[in-house]
Amino acid sequence: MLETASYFLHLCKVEFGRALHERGMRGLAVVLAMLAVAGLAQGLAERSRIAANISQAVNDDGRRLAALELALKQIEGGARPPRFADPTQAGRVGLNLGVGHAVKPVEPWAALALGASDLQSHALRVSSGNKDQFLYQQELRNPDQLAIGTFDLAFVIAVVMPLGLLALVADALARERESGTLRLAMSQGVGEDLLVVVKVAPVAAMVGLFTCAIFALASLLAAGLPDGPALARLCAAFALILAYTAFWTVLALGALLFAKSLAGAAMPLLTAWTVLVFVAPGVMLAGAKLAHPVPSRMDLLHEVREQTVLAEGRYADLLARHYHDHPQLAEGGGNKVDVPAFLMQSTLVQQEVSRRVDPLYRRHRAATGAREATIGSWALFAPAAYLQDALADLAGTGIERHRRFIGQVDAFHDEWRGYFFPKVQARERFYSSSLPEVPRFRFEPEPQGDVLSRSAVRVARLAALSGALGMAVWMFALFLRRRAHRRPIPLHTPLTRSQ
Amino acid sequence: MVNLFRTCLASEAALLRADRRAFWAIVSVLVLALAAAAWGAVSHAEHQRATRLGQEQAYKVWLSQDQKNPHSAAHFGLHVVRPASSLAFLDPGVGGFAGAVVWLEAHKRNSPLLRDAEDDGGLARFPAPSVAFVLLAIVPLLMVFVGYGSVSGEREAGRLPLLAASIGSFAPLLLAKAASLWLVGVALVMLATATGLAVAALSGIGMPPLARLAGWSASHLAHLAIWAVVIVWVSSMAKRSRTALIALVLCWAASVFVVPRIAANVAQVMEPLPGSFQFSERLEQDLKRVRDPLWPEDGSVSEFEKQVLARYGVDHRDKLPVSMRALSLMRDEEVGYPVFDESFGQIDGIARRQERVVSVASMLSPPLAMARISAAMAGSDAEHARRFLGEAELHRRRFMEAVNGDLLHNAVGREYSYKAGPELWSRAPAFSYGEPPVPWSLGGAATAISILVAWLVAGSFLLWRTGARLPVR
Repeated sequence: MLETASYFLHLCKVEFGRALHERGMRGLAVVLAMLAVAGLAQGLAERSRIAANISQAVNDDGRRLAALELALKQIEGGARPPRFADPTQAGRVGLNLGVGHAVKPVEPWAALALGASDLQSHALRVSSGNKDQFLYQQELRNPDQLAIGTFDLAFVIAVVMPLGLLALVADALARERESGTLRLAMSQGVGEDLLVVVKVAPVAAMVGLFTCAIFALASLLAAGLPDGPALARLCAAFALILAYTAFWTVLALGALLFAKSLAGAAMPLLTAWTVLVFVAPGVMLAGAKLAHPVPSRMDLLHEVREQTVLAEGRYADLLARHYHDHPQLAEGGGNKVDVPAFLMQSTLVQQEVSRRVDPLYRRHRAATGAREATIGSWALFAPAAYLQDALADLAGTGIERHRRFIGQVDAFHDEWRGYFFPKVQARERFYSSSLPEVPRFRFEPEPQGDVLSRSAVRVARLAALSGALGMAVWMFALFLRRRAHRRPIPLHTPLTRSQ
Repeated sequence: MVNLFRTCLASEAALLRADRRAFWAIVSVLVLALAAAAWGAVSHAEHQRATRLGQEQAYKVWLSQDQKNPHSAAHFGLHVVRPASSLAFLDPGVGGFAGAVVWLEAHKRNSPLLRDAEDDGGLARFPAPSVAFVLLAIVPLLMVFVGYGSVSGEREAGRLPLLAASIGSFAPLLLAKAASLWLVGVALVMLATATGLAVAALSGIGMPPLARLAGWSASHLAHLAIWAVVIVWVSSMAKRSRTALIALVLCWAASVFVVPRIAANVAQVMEPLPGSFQFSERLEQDLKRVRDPLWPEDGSVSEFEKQVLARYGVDHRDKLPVSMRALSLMRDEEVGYPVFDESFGQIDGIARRQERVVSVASMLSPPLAMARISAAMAGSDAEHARRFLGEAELHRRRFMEAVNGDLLHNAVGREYSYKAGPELWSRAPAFSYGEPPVPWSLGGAATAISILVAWLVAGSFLLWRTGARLPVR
């Protein structure tokens, strides 16, 4: 037994060395590298685009604030306020003149895994208007390009790499049949099943390690030398890639061990690849939509408008009630301005609308979150989508980070209104000295530990899936051995068309 | 020659029927296609119902407004909803990625809202389970599995010299092999389409226009014919079946998943869209340039007002028989039209050039060309989405003219205190949007159609020539 084991390890070492020099391996390495370069190029271009957009938004904010401060100081110096954009009106400052963008910074690793970043807004203009005015803001995109999808490094690893691995493995076994050196090892007591493992494992290990190397090089190009946190993320990415490679390796082993011929193995493998990579995600999404129907955003829009109409109709009551509840706001004084009726009305109407509609927004976000959580769990059975999501999470382009951003923007919107609405309703004049007090948005990213925990869970799940699949393959092989209904791939039998 | 072709075709069809592996593969894909058709029809019915209700609800909210100044109502505006196209249940195209709702309001042309794909998380980047995806991606792979050894297998089994001796030329044989392979695809297209139509009818979706349906089906059949030709050609050139299988699978993967995405990347680099803020900032400045003269900050009389006073022969706005504010508001809208047309026209132009780059790249990828034709025939491509936006903008202009126009005579002397009510809201035109005629839809896919036809003609010719010189060993 020990002799067989050591001979088996010796064979693995020999095969590993041989695989290094195989034309197929070198061919795959070149193809993967070229596609990785293409993917990284797109990732870098897209990251630059997003960063440029964010930078323009931030510059726009700076210019707007500077213009506001200048206008206020001129008025405080004696100039007449403009007719249509009076900055001494807190309502106008909150609605337009002082408005800035809530920005979600783009991480350096975004170039490696774009995720759904082209579908997300990275800078939202938050004013005192209704939430739908910023929550539904979209980046300028061609829907045709969005529908085709992105080609980034994560796509190459998740989709192309397994196909290359399966092709290499099948090719390696076919050449073994033709040149036939390993079967000599059978005379040393190594079973045919283990010979298949000896052939497959080194190839898979090499592909997995090469993919990790590509990822490491790409991260260097995208983000420079890694510091401590980046190194931790890199290790997490390696673990994900290796676990993913292990899954496809186990799948390949399963097909190769039980097929009567190589063609008989290639078909199920390619079918599995097609189904797991391209069919399963769509099916999963359909299932998640059925299991977790999300309230329609169109209905949400209409509800906001309907409540706005109702609140406008009750404006007089709202105004009376408000001053009844806050009599101090009705007092006159030197600090007061005449607030245009539409500004006063809009604050009270929007407060009333928020009171009725904010629970609907929360319900929508909760339902969307539940659906995303379900998709996150089920996606394990669509491993390519699972890996892409996992890499996007590490790259800061995942759904979790975006959801966190939207939650913080929502809270900021309440804070913004909480600052400006009382000023409007108290008819307070807005001064340049008030500008430093105006709330400003700052994105609080989640702790790195949370991201790494999620990655660890994903690695564990992928490993568990591979393990479960491997166990099933092994037990089925044992079962067949006892029943002796099938033999593993006869390494010495020539292929025929019927096979 | 025709008899020879018929004999070969009958023989190939019999071989295919006897092939158990092919049988199970076809059954699996058929189940997938039927499931996709059923899902597409049910989703489409739900989507149709939701958009119809959404449009009705939007107009109802508009009508429910109380008495208010018409210009306030113009700012409140109206939402319009893009209906799903008649064949979207077979090919949803860009539907989930193009916003379906546009807010029509005074002074602004808004971009569309509510991309459905935003709710789908990471899975939005994977193909939706649709009949089009199955026919574009899965059926060709099935045909690869079934047909990769059609000629190379004969060579490996040593039967080619016998065939050469008995039939003389291989050209009819190769074409017969391609035809029998194609018939597999034909059966799947017909069955999937019929299932989709049946479920659509049961779900309450109306029968789609026959011309559109026929064009859509015919284009998919042409696409599958290209695959049949390519598969048999590769099989005839490969010395071993294994080589043919690997080459065909790699071709399939490259043409279905790699070339389209890389082409989209290249298109974005060659024809970049401006950033959202760059665009909106430039638009704001252009609008300011043309509108600010109408509303002098210092309260002086604008040039436009002077022209109006001169036209009516009065020296002050209070003596006008019409509302000066109404005229200024209407003028404000009018001077904005060319600015919107130019700005959004530029964006549309860049988008069309991007799509043209991708269409040219489809010379390397018949599925990419077919995807464009399929979406165009289904009315679910980007050009149809742009058409809706154009119609929505035209409606916005008519809408604002009707609403602001009410101020013209009714608000004289009471420009800010005048209020209108439901009788005006109901006079504002309701929005309706219809599918364009088929020739219009095809226009957007002209390049892709040419490429697909070129592939089919060139492939068939190449196969014929190859048959004449096929090496038998």
